[in-house]
Amino acid sequence: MADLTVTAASPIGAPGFHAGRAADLVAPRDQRLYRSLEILPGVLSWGTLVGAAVLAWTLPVWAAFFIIAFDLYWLSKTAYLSVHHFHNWRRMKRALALDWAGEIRKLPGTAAERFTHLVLLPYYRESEAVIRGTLESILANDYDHRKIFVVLAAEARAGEEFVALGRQLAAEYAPRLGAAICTVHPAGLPDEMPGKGSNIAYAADEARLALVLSCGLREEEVLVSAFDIDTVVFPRYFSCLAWHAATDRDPAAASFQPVPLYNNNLWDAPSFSRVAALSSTFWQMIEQERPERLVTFSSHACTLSALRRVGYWQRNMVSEDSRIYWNLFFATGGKHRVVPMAYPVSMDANLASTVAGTAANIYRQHRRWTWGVENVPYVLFHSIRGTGGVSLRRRLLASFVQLEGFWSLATNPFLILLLGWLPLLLGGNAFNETVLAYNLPKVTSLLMTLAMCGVLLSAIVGLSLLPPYPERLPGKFRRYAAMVLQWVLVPIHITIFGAIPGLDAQTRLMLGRYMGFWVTPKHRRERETAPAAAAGAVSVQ
Amino acid sequence: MIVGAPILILYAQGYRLADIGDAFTFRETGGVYVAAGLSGVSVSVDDEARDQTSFLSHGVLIQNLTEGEYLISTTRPGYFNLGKALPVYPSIVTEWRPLLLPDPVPLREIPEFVATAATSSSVKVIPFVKNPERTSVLALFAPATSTPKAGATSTLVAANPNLVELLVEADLPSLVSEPTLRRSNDLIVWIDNLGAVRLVWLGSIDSTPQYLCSPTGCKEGDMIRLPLGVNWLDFLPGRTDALIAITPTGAYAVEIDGRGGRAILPILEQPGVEARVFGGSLYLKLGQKVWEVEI
Repeated sequence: MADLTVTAASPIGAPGFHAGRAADLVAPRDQRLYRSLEILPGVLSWGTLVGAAVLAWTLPVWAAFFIIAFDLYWLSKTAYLSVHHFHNWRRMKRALALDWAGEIRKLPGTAAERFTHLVLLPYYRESEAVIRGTLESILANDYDHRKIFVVLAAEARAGEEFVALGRQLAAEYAPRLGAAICTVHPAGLPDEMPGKGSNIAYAADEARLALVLSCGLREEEVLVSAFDIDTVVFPRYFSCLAWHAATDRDPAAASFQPVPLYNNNLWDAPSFSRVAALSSTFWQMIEQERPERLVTFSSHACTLSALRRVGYWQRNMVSEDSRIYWNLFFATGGKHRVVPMAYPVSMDANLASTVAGTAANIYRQHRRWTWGVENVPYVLFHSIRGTGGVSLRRRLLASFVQLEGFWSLATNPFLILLLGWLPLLLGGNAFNETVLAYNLPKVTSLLMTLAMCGVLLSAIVGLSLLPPYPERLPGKFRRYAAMVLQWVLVPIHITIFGAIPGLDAQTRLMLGRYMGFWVTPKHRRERETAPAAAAGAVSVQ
Repeated sequence: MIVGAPILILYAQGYRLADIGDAFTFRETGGVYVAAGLSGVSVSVDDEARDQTSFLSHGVLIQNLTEGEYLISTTRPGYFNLGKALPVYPSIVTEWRPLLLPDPVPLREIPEFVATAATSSSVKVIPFVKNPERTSVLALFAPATSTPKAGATSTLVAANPNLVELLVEADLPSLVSEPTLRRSNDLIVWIDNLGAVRLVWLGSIDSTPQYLCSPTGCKEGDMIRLPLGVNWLDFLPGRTDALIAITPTGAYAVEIDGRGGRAILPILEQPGVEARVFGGSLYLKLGQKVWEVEI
């Protein structure tokens, strides 16, 4: 088991261990280094895009060579990712079909039964219906309810009305669970940024004092699931999580990552929102098959002891979900891992009262997600500083994966959609009369058409992840057809809701215009669409 | 990827595997692009049918041609058959925009009178009135519209200081005396005192039309001779690479591109015919008859 002792020499005491931005560092030298690392992702992305345009203008032949090589790389990458996507889909099918409680019983002794689940449900001003949907899904789980503690983590700044709602629901559901409490995160605490990270860090410590210590539980046997308020768990989630923890070689050095399935309200969402939601799900499915680069995202779980080791989630930043992994990574000398569960939890697709509002919300949500680029300077800084004694190979790999990931996100869609035409537009007559110029669109379009086969797989997998069709909606056939045809939007989607918000976030970080936490509004047209997953309706056919 | 990228790049550049004797080798090829501008145009290379334009693509790219000269021909039912011997150079695409016109070229006569829709309540008569369209078209043929284009020439010269030199080389005096200077973007054309058509490219060398260029360089201009000389000319509506030329024998559409044979297509073979281009339309007049050319 991982050592839980925090000493003065512990990495947690290293400069900038809990840095949210350059200004959080004390030493000017450290500040300068961190700041330059904040600038780096934006410089790389803008440098690539501007460089590509300049290359197309000055050396169109070389630009054409680069485009062909890049498109071939993209095709290879698509094939590689599609294989992972398909594999994870099959694993998810198996995971959903498996009797995890039965699997637990097969384990020697009471290995899995020793785990207690502590579920953190941070909320702001979401409706009672949304919160109830989540709580009902927990109750529908097959794990011993007495070993499930639920914390409704309210925000004082949301107002007394929402605090009261949390208290009322905690009181209502407590008798049916091991415990249910409502914590109220005070507004304006020092060194905090309002947001999920500060709220769940506060809630986790409150729950430790109120529940874990009072019940005499061991922290390494308490599995903390940090959810969003719209996270609807599937019926065997807690059994599945307990099984993974019980069979892990060192659960205290592991985070457990379910697949976030953004499908609660999928039938109500417009096409671009569905594509955005399912694309996010698919990306996480793919990442599940690459545990060497998997980082915690959105709803995730780990032991209370691991959280305590690093002081819970960081309170001074937006991307607390991925930062907790990096905190643990450097705190454990690179030993902390993310274990892919291949088991879903379902959440809401973006949906506002208007189409334009939905589009704006998707953009803001994706910009918040891609603001995860704030982890790049953190990872690079501590890799350079050698925090925690992480091996050079692990540091290089982590740094490369982070940099390449955010660079790809912000630049690849532009390179694919626009760069192919740039030499033709900027290359002049001399280039445009070459065989290369004539073949460039043919070759790139052939490669991109082949790459679209990955989209076909997405359409098939997407259909299998749909919740049951709500009979209240007319035009069933048309809507199913739209669920397939919507995937032609992928090239547009990856640009408008991927590359542009990604570049937006990187530019903000580059310019030192730090983002705050933006709460994604949870909106459902009909309450009945919420607990679909909890009812086990999505079975991944 | 490491193997595929170089192969794909070589292919895109025009390199093809060739069987030379008992060994395979890479050979750099070129191509021909026929910008037909119409669907259903069949393109042949040395009398061998190669491809056809479609609804989605009005151009045909023929690749894998080794260096040399090829007879490229186009056919479309109801249209003039065209052919041109075009040079093909390694890694370069030779472009050709054939002058595809219906055969015969459709003419719509503009009558002097037209019937109106008005009817009398007591007697059923179809009144005829002067055709206003004809009146306005005839105005184009009035002598005043054919005044010398000295002003236009001055403007051109002012905007292009090197033009004087070019025009002197190309027989400037004939320009001043003739009302036939026409300009389309950076290309000007006029009739010299021998009745030949002169053309000069005023734009940058980089943007010179391919038909004025060869791998060794680009010409600044060209000359087009028709058997009996040209009396009047203008650019064919919608084209910057074709002219409408009036000769003693009639009106003809003339391809500017002189590589490997120039298309000279009859529009109306009647001595004394006149022509005007206005508002994107071509009008012909012969005696009292006036037509709009429907191309």
